[in-house]
Amino acid sequence: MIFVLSLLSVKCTRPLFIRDFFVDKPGFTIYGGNYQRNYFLKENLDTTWQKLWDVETEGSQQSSSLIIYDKYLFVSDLSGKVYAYDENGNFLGTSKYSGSISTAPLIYKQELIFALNDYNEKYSSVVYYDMNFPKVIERARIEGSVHNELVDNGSGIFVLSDQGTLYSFSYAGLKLWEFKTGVQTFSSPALFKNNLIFGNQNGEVLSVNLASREVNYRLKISSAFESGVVIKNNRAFIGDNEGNLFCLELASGKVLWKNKTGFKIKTLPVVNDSTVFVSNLHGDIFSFNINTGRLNWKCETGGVIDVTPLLSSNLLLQPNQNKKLYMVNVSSGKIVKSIDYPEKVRTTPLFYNNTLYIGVDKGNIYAYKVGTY
Amino acid sequence: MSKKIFKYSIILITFLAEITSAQFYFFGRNKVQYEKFDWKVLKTDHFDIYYYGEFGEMAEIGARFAEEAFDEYKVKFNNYISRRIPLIFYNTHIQFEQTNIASGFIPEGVGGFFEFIKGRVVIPYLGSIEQFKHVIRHELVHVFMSNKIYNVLKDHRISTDRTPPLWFTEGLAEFWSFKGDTQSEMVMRDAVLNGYFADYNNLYSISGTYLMYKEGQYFLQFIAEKYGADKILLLMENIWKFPRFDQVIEFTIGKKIDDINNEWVFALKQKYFPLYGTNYPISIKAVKLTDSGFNFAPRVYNSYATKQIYFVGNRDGYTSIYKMNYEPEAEEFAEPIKVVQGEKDAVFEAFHLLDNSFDVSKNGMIAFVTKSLGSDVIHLFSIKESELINTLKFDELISIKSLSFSNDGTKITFNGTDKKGFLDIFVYDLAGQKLERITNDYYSDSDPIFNKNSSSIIFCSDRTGGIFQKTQNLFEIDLATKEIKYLTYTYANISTPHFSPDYSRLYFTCDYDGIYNIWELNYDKSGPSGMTQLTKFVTSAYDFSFVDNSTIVTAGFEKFSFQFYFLNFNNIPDTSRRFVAFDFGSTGAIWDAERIAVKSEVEKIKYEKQYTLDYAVSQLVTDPVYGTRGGALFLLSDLMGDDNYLFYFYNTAEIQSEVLKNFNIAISRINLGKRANYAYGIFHYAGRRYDIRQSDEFFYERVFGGYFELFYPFSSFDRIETDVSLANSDKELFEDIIGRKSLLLSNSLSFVHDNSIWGPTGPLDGSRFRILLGYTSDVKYSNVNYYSLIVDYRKYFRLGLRSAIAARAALFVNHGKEARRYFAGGSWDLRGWPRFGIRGEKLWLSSLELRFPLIDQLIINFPVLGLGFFDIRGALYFDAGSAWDTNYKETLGSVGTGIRINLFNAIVLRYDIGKKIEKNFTQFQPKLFYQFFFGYDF
Repeated sequence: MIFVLSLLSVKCTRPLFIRDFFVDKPGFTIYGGNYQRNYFLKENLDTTWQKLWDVETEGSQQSSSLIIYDKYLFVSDLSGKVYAYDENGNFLGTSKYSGSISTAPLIYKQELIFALNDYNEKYSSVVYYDMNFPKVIERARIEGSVHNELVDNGSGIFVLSDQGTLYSFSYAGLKLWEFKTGVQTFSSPALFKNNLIFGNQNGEVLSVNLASREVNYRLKISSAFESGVVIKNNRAFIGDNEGNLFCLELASGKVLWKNKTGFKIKTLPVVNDSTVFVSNLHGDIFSFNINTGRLNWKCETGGVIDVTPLLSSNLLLQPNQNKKLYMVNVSSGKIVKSIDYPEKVRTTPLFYNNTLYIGVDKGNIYAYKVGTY
Repeated sequence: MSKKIFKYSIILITFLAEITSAQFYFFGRNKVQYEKFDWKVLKTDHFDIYYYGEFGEMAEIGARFAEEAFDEYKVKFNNYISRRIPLIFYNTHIQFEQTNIASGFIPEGVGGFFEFIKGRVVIPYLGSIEQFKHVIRHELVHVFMSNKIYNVLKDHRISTDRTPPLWFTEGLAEFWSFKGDTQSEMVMRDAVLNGYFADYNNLYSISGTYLMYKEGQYFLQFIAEKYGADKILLLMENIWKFPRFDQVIEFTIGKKIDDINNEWVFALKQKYFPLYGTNYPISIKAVKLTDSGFNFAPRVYNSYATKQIYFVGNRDGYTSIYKMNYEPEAEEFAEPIKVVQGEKDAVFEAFHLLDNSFDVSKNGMIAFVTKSLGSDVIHLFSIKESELINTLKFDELISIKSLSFSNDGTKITFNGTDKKGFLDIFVYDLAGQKLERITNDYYSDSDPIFNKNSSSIIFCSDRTGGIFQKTQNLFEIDLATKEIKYLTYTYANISTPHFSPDYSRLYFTCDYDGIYNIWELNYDKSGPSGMTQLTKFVTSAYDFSFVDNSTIVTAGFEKFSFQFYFLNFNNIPDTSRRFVAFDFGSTGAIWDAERIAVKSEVEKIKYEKQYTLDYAVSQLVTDPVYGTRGGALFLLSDLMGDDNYLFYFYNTAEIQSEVLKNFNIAISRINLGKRANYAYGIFHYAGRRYDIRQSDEFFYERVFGGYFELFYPFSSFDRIETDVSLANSDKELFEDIIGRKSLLLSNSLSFVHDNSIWGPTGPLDGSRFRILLGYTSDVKYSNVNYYSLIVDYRKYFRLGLRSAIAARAALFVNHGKEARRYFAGGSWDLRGWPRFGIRGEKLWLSSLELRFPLIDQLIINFPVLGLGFFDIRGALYFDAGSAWDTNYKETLGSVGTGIRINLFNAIVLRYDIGKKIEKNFTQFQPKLFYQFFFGYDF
């Protein structure tokens, strides 16, 4: 009986191997769309969706964790697995590790690069997985955990650990240098002209030049930050643990304006040309004028929001822990529609090639055909 | 205990076909359902709130607290709970103790609980709105924490049975539910200053205690203050990463646990030791009068030119009324004498030890409160006659406390809780036998006392308005006009006011400086002007009583015990007295308790039973002799735990063709919702049975039928049990050759008493007994026909706090045709003899055992891990007994010694050494016997 069960389990585990994996293909491979994290879908989305397929992974996802590369969907989960699916939802393979993966993987050439928080260890690993072989070709150890999104500046990979240490790795997995800030950091960094900007648990905002490793500025402006940074038009936007949304001058870190939302902000703000939107843990969504910080509207959903929404021209798609995905009118702040799910909605919606991908506890991925206009 | 026992006995019946008149039975106290709760449901956005009777107003107030807490905690935990949370409110602690949601007994000190299986939160209302809010928030922290940790573990595909240690669970609930109070500070301060504080590495040694709650709270407070409030949530979010919680702490904080521990201990010492610069231990300024036990509510009584102190105390496990001579100059502590034995019978069923529920009048009448059946009552006991004069019960009141006689002894004032949950002031006229309600609102009014001519009552209340809103100040109500005025107005909590014997001064305890000390009310021409601090104890003073106008006996808390001290106010220098003035101009309007906005009457509905699965277990067993067997057991119950259904399936077939023939099934219903608990069910059993008449015979039997059982408790100590069953039995002694058919009708009636209290491995005081009469008859074939009699009496004679002599005498008789045999032998009765090896239709047993503590703590440290054993106990015993069918054979016995260890309150391991007494009690066996087994002492 045990032998039969073993055979069955072997049959169900397929290694992550994509035969026709080509390099330099298009996709949506960066959390937030780009390293300024200011992705904005410049189209209007229909509110009626057609479900194409859904799949079930074994773990749950953290806020980001989905990327599209070419015609493949890559998903990492908190049980330490990375999965690949094709555009029709067919399972292509998985790679399993002892630990958890909280951030979205990166694609570089034929490598899948991700940060693994090792189980029962005080360190984490930056894993380089070669798709063509397929196997792990490098595994670099770093102290602490990684909950901040990885950055690729074109010359290497940068990892900001929760210990507040910034690591630089080559594409081959060699650690080049590390820079210690000495303060815990749960704020996904943004990149602009080779400067990395992020917040920390001391309420500081830092800007570090990745080439020279010099600190451009390090300013304490709040109690603590756990929200990521978004950059738009030479301004940086970040939310703090007391619910304040800050607009900073990118070059100096000077606070241009600040406005209250009342409760802790863990998500990335999202921006278009005129407006910045932010959600807080109380389940409230705010719209502020991007230049003045004046409040446009507030929308109360009643749940808990710790997942960054997707912003389109007409709708804000906001996942919520109350098992709903809200479609909020960008202009008025009214809830146009909400979709119920069996569990909490856990990933930032990813829109690519008229398909919308959404991750829901405990490990379900839904794909919808969504019209645009 | 009895409801759990009742439920388990049903399960036992289910497993053992012919349990009627069986030898294995339980004692145990009874959880008595005195009330019929007409449950209603108030539905809010996130909660289903269950309440009953007239508690609607308080339920709406509680609902608001719950929704506010939900709104706060969903952010704090970064976790949204989608399921509706059941909150069950009881309007007093006495009725809360009757709940069937928890199967065990609920002690006085339990203020509420969260039950994990159905996610129910159960909370009693204790008369104070602020305290109600605190408990609701505390329990909701448990709800959110358990949900959060479950989700974190499930997300990471880690086994969800990993939980944080209890100190963290309870510490977090305290830390995140309120800002702390004087009592929390008192316990921590006392622990640190007096050296019994358990640091992080020793928290296991105080597991489950109130001190553990507080140390957990203060440890987390330290972490938040030193390392950031975000660390608390991170500890939960990192729980998946390491199997041990101290590893999680080290990883989250980024320091070694020993370093964190050292910092914490130092921070506490830094906080508390400087207090010695301004404050002093009680034992420095006051003279200690007692040295052991828990002692409360001292009342000095002048008796024939001597002074005596009467008080409520617990010195042996039973709370009782004591008296002792007031001898402050004596070299030895006076030995208290028990005046009224408490907690051994239904009249004085339970005292409320921590409440101020006791007073003595000048003319020698003691008034005290106990729980008696379904409510509190006031007993009047004459000191001179040394007997109970009267017991006062009020139908409209459920709980009573804070008794105080008037100056002339003709009236008693007290606070009582009615069916709405309101805690108000009452006056009872002893001569006219009339009860008068003085206040009637949801403000918490307590500790009332009469003024000199009984024209007004001074009392403590949280009705304080204005800038000191909701603190507990002192008020006076004119009994004629019912006008209430402030006597104090300060940002502090005041309790236990007392006049000096000449009524010229008023004193009380107050926590103005964060510690309960004794203060005096000051007057100027216009009335109360302020208060003066008299004592500066570093721990706390509790209730006190005057010896004369300047001398008191006070209960004080020090070294985690409540002892009595005598203090002369003249010994306190004027320079150490502090005056605090009152400004009555800022009292403002009285506050209103906000309620939940109830949208429509639809949201208040009547409770209807909905059943969910509590327990499901399945088993598959295979062995080379008997083959493969398997089955399953399911237990369902309704939300209140009143109605339970049990389903049992099992198959013992050894070959495929026997599957249908060996099907076992039982379905039972167990109802605990009324005072009389009952159960009924049907069963079908088939399979091999072991014949206990002969050692190595077994037979195949098929039996099917039904049963009915009833438990009726007279009080928490006594009950009757009755059961009847009808079972059709087909027995095959040798397959298809010799068989026996019968239609067995069995009846039994039992009386059970139990008022014992237990040590770690068995009872130490009180007594328990069972008398059973039964009759079993084959009503169709007359193959079986016998009577049953069981008398089992056990008494425990206390020698010391942890030692006792236990005695047992038991007689078992089955008499008639095909009477079943009883069996004895082994560690549970006749030690040294083969387990269950002595059999007969008649059996007698007797035992005498000395039980004593042996080793309090045994720690074994290996290089990698350590083991700790606690409360290892010893025994010296003598057993005697015999069993026979028709002719008495011989008397057997044994003597010896043994040790017992209680492991995690789950099992007691026993090891006995001794000698059997053989050959009809004439000689000892040559060698020793050694016997290892498990089980509690008899």
